[in-house]
Amino acid sequence: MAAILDHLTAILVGASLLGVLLFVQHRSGQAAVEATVHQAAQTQAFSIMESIERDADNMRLIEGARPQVAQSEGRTTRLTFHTLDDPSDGENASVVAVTYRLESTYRTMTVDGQERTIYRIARYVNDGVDDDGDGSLYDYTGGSTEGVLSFDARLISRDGTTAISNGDAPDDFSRVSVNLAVAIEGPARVAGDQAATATTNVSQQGRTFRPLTLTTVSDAGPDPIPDPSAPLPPLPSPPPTP
Amino acid sequence: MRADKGGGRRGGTALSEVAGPDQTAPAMGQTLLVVVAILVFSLFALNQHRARAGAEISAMGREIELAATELANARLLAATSLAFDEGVIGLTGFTVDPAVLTPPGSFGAGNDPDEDENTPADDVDDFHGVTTTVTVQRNDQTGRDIRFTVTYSVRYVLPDAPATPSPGNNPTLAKEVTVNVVEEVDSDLGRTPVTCTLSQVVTPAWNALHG
Repeated sequence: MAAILDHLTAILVGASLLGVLLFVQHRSGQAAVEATVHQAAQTQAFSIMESIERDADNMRLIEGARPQVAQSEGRTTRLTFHTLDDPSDGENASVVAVTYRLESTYRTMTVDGQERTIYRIARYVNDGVDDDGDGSLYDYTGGSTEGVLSFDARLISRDGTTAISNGDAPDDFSRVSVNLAVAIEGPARVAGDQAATATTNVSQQGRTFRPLTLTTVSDAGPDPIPDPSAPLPPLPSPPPTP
Repeated sequence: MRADKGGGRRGGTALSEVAGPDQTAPAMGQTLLVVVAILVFSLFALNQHRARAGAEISAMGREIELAATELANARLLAATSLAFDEGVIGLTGFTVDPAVLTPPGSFGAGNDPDEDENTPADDVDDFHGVTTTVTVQRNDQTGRDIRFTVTYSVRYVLPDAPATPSPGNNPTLAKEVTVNVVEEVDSDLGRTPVTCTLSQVVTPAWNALHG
């Protein structure tokens, strides 16, 4: 007892330092997690953007069927255009209609201290054949993770004076601009200073594509051009209420 | 022996007089150790904090680099989508005669015939010397804006050696369009402002086909 009393100050200070040390260590580990989460968010955004880039770079204009974009509540809900199914086939590559659709995940995520609704972007391809037998000519061919915060696509005219965010591409259509933000679930907030670091779980990326082979293809060829307006598979249903 | 004991007692008294400073020495040492421990720990905590701040600044920098690159790319595509030169607007096909092209001294907004500073750019060299400030919104939220200064420059280059400027800046059938984007930083963030420079060489034929 006497020994404890003799070293009371040292014990108190030591215990305090140990406690703070553990906290600092915990925050240090969390910082590493946040850095990884940011990297993951960037990778996810890159992934879906690369898919859009590949399709946009091989875009084809079809007589009577211009690229279309639909918008709701400030977000692009659908981006549709014709592209090559497999560009590596060269001149034999078939033309398909591709649609990127923003779909609700019925979930929210905390980003920058705010609860935000998250979506996903799904890619559907219409090659004229119902491959998966769901009754829709559009077949699901992949998409983003469930963490898309915003999706904004615009069809821009050559002189840049017209940027369509809801409707058909302008007459002198030249470029596609796509902006999206992807978030990944970050570590739980355990300290006051984390509010400043919470933005690291989101990555925002924008690209502008100028298809270099934006030639108009006639629909009078031997193979029919898939209809871009064909109905898409139904949207995901909300989860059952517990 | 008694004398010794007495001496011992006396000595004991003497020892007790000396014991005062002897007991204070460990307490002083303990205090010093505590102070040193707190000092060392403070340095450690500050270092940790600096490392975390560095990682966050690095992450922010990467996001800003992406934004700057996209802005430069979008502006470059917008500029190179226009006509190669004022002298070829309305021309069927494309020119192969440099004599009809705008001299470098007339590059810039509103310098072409029948144009003024308010006339929208209609050819590549109208962007020469133009400087604008662009605000990019992040994450659909106010207060997360990033401001960039965008500067354009256009020059004639040799068509068969596009990295080489035209001698005397004489008109040639190739123009190099350069877009430079620099982040505007209000305060010292502990990093250099993000900069992105993109260039593209265009020719009358290229613009006729892909512009």
